[in-house]
Amino acid sequence: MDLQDKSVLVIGGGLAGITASLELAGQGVRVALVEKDDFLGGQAARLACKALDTCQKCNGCLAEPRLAAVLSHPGIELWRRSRVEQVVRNGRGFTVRLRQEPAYVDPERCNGCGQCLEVCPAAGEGALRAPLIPGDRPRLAISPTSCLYFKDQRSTLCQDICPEEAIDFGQTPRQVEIKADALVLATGFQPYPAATKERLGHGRVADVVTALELEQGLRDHGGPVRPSDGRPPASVAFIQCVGSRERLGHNYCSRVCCGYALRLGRHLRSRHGAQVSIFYMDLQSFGHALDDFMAAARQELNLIRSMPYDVYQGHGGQVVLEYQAVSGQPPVKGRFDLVVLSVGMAPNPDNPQLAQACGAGLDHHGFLSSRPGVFVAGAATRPLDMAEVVAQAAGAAQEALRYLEECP
Amino acid sequence: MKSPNRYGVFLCQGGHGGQESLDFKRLRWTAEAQGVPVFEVTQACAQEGAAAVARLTGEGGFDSFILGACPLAGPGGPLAGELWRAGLKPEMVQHLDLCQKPLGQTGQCLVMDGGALALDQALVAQAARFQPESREMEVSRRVLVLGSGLLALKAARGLLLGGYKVLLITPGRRLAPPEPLLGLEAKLEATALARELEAAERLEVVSRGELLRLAGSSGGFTATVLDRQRRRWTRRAGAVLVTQGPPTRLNSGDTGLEAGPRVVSLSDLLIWLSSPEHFRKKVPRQGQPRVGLAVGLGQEASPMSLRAACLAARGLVSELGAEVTLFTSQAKMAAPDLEELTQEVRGLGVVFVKFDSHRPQASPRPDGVGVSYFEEILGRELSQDLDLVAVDEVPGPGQAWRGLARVLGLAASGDGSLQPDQVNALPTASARAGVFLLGPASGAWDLPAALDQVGQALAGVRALLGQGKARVEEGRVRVDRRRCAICLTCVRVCPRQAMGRQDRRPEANPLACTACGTCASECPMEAIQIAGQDDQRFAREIGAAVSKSPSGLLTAPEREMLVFACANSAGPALAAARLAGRPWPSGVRLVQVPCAGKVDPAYVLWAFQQGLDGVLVLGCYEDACHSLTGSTWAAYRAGHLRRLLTEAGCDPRRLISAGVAPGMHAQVMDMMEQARQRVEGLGANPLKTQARVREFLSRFTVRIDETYAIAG
Repeated sequence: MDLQDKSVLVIGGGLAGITASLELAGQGVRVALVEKDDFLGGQAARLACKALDTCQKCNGCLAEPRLAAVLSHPGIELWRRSRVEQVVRNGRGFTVRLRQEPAYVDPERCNGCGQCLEVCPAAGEGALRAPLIPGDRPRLAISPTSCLYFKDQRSTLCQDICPEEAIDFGQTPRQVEIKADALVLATGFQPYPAATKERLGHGRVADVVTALELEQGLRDHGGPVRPSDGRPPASVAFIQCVGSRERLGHNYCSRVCCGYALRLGRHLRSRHGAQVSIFYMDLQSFGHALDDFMAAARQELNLIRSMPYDVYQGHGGQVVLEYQAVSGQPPVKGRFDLVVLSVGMAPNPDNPQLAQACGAGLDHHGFLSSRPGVFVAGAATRPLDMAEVVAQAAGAAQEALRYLEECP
Repeated sequence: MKSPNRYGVFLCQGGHGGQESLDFKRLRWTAEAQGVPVFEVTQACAQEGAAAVARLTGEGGFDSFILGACPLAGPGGPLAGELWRAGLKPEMVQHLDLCQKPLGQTGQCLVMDGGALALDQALVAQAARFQPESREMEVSRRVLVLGSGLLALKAARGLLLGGYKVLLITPGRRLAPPEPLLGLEAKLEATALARELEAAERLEVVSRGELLRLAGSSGGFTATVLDRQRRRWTRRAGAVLVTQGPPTRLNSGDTGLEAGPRVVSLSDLLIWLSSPEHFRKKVPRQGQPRVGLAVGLGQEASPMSLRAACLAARGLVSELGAEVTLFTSQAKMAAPDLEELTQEVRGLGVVFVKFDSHRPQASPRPDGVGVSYFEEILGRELSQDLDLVAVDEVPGPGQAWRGLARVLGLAASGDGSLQPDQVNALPTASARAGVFLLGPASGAWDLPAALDQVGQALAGVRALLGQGKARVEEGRVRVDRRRCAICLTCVRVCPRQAMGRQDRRPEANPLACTACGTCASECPMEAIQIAGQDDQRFAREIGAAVSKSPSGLLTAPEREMLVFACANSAGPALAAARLAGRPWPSGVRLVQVPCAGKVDPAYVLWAFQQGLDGVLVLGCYEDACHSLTGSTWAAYRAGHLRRLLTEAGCDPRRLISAGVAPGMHAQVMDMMEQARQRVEGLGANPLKTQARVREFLSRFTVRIDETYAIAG
């Protein structure tokens, strides 16, 4: 009955996973937090502040304090770069086999001096990555997908220059078994892969980006940049419902895209002087005082109820959108410096496998649901915004605590 | 009180021979002048250096240390691991950023310009460090739940399972009243729950009760209740869960759809539809009934309304063979499976008419409703004759709801929510610690989201009340009884309503207080001090931030400015910017505060009087403040201070306040640089040279440096 003797394995180190971990560890439960990426934070830690002169309540800052708390919590054991390989249920408990990929960087030795970054020939392709928030470790991680060493086994410039001898390409993956009394699945969502909508130009036209890419750019550089020339865009178009509300495919509204597009649009206009157009089907509800927000948005932004059907590179470096403005009239060609695709929230592709391995429920869209002993937290259950993720994950942790208390 | 802490200083001398430089010697002298032992280490950013720091920390017999080094040696560096390994707490060593631009250049470190001043400030802060003693506090294990619907019953069940007592005050006569908008499954679940709870032991239900008064604060509220027999009685409660919402009105906008015999609410229609006979009695008509459903034609609707309209449409078509038109502006699809539900009812023949800029015009008659409108896709005028129109509902004005808000000590906003429009309150927190807002009490949420909030509120109650004993920190907020004039400003300004009264005097409830310091800064008698963050500490820290040596002898006179940085937003943003290799602007000194609300106007005036040329206050954005209203107070004070500075003959542009988010590491250094350039352009602070101005301002400045230390 004593929670101090219980342990929970939390899968996923995004906002839901860290919220659930903090709730559980706050009650004395030992937590092992498993994250497949090099760093904690997930999608939530990549979002930018979208404030005008005042806060727009995008909730993009909810992850930071929670991440800092997890990193310094003595009751939470962190397993970065780890994936669940096997789950065995024994009675009420679980034995989980993890496979941890090597970091190739010794987190104890690396101090983030950055000399490796300066010599890395593949730094531009993301061979060396820094954590999403300070305090996460190691301070730089090697990504085997872009690092040249894993292609030719010879490029060891970083290893040679590292003054701390922190880089070791000889590291190998390891497997560990962890026992847990309950599981929390917080595997989040997958941003809809925009390139599958070929007509919308992502991956084909340089200045077509996803909203998440735009946000990460805002966060890292402090302002929006066009990928083609690195200059700030003077005109921006958002296309809504990319990978949402499709009869064949993701047949649901992703809930968050209208909220983030309108806020990003107002932010780009007020802070960076861009002219912003938003192409939409129906603008969804979010947040308090919505009527005032919408009135301001209608004034500042060009809201167009139409879905562009073609996107291509125009002359003069601009991107052309073709759309039908009024039914029965010829189509309109709009020219924009930057086109942003408001991608929806797709279920994590690992979900079916995970549901089967852990015994969680799986709905027809591919989202997960809780079962006794296996609790699903955050956007793994359905599309949710940041505040809703926090609430849902706290509630899921609560269910898990109740399950643990009932344990003999 | 514990004995004063013994602390020492580690100075990292970089890679090689750093200790020979004059700047490094100055660091050493600064610490030695205060009688603080200094230990030099080599490369604290590297594992060997960090191990040396950990070893010395373990054997020194000190309570704590300051480690003056570059950002690489700070959080996330090798030191924390070394300290853990040595069996020490990482908090024992406070990192202090002292390097000019060390990144990528390990071993060639330079001491930051003004580094000795920063170390002096840190020593002041370290001397004032507060080591709280925690104690157990008795809290009530009873929870007050307001409401009677599915949310209230779910919450009550969860609380009972958690071992809490529940006092359930229901506005109506019975539990599980009709909630037509939630659908049939919710109704069945609520009824089953009500039956299950009937025999519950620790549940007390007050039907048709009213909460008259809620005194006290979290952990120990005293609720005064008026019951059905008009008797008044009180109960103690540790927390309050509000699950009911404001009254509603029809969301007709200016369509002319006023309530009448043939214009009803969606809720009413759904109740009529519970049996086809009932509906036919209400809408007597031979043949196929023609029904219009209006959603979101006035205010923005919630997805709950569209779901309810779709459920009604399905019933109308399948049970009554009705012809249904659904009028909406923006179809609010953002709820689970709603997209599929709308597709299903469209498949049944329900026609959707969507408006962007136009709205339909209705003329209700006793036996029907005529509706004419401009169809935006077809581009022409249409009209329809309908037997009945059902309109969605939005929160309306309500005396009783505002009364409840007053009793709870909260404000009801225009959309009926009792929640402050605040990032850190979403979705269940209120402006009163211990009062949780669920579902309609906090906004227009769909049912699954509201049910998630029940879970979060249960987590909140557990964190607050535990098993009836809560661990709290003793003596964080101290009220000097000799100074206090019992004006109760602190009670009014506390953002969490943590300030209560004990023997008529204000006293902070440690369970609710977050030590943001807003009360201390607003107290007109300077009677409140926050331990570890008292006025004396900040006065000394500000004093230490100013160069003492006569400047401008060898180099051009440099402007000096002070940044008050909120530990929740600007602090992390600055730390991240430093780690990303951004240099610290020269002549800028940092004072970290727990909240922008802690920046007393006297601190700012004190800084100008000390000769600083500019002051920058970096806090959270107002609606993202971690203590809810700290930034609002900071903005208000900045306006006041600017007027005062103008009057004194000091340019008000020397005081700059701005909002920052913790993720703004890419912008925060530029903001500081811009502020520095502005101050640079304004020239030297006139207070440095003009005694008259100094004298004028001093009349408004409490001598925070001497008088107001914490007693004991």
